[in-house]
Amino acid sequence: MRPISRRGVLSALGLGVVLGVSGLSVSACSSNDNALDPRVDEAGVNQVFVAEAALLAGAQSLSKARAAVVIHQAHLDALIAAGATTEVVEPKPITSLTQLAAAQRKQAALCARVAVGASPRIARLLASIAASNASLASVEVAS
Amino acid sequence: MSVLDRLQLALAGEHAAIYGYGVVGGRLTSKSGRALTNLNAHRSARDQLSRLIVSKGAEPVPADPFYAVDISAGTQKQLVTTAIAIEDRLSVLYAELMLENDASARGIAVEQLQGCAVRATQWRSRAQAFPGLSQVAPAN
Repeated sequence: MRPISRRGVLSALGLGVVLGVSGLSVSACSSNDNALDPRVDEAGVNQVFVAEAALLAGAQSLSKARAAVVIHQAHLDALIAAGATTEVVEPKPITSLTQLAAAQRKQAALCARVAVGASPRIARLLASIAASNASLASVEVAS
Repeated sequence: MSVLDRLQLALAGEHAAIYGYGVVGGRLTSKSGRALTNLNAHRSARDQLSRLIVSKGAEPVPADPFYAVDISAGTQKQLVTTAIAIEDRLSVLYAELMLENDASARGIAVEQLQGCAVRATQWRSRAQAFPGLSQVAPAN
């Protein structure tokens, strides 16, 4: 997977974007309600975005993780709408549901950590994504 | 709404959840062990919230003596649906608590939102994209 440049794709103008990234299809419409506070949130949101893209790629590579694909895609959409402006780089491969669950738990912890210090709307979104990843991990472990 | 208001709302939600799980857990023929585990998790969350409210100089809201829990159909499916509703409603309260710029409140909210979401997922056997959020939910 080649790196892609997404800088400026979602500006404050509120434009929607559709990206194609070697199997990653990331689409979103922006939301002014989730306007990014660049002083506090940008680094955290971008960090979460990169990890979420890796989770999507991992889930896409596993035939039994179709529900996770839909959810991770939705997370990416929301993060773009929230102002993620990072680049997606080639993630480490995920080859089993157990690995996927471990990565989802790690992502839940990252989201939770970033959420506590973020601006209110970003904090709420990241807390929800953290909860979703924790839930996904519990499902992957059970399956 | 102040952070104390939101903490009190979450506490009131936990009181209701504890009552609700008492009703549901006593009627489930299977998975009653899960209901008991969840009941204890909500008791723990209640105590955590109460301590934080006291530390902020306020009196924690008490539990009501009675909560309306619809078990009219008397089916196991309805009991599970009620358990899911308990977790989903609390998820919203914890997500809204994240809107407050208070690190201790957010610490509880982010932890408990995960707990609610995981428990709801166990009941419904599938995860949701945005637990606690109603306006961002293409995959919910």
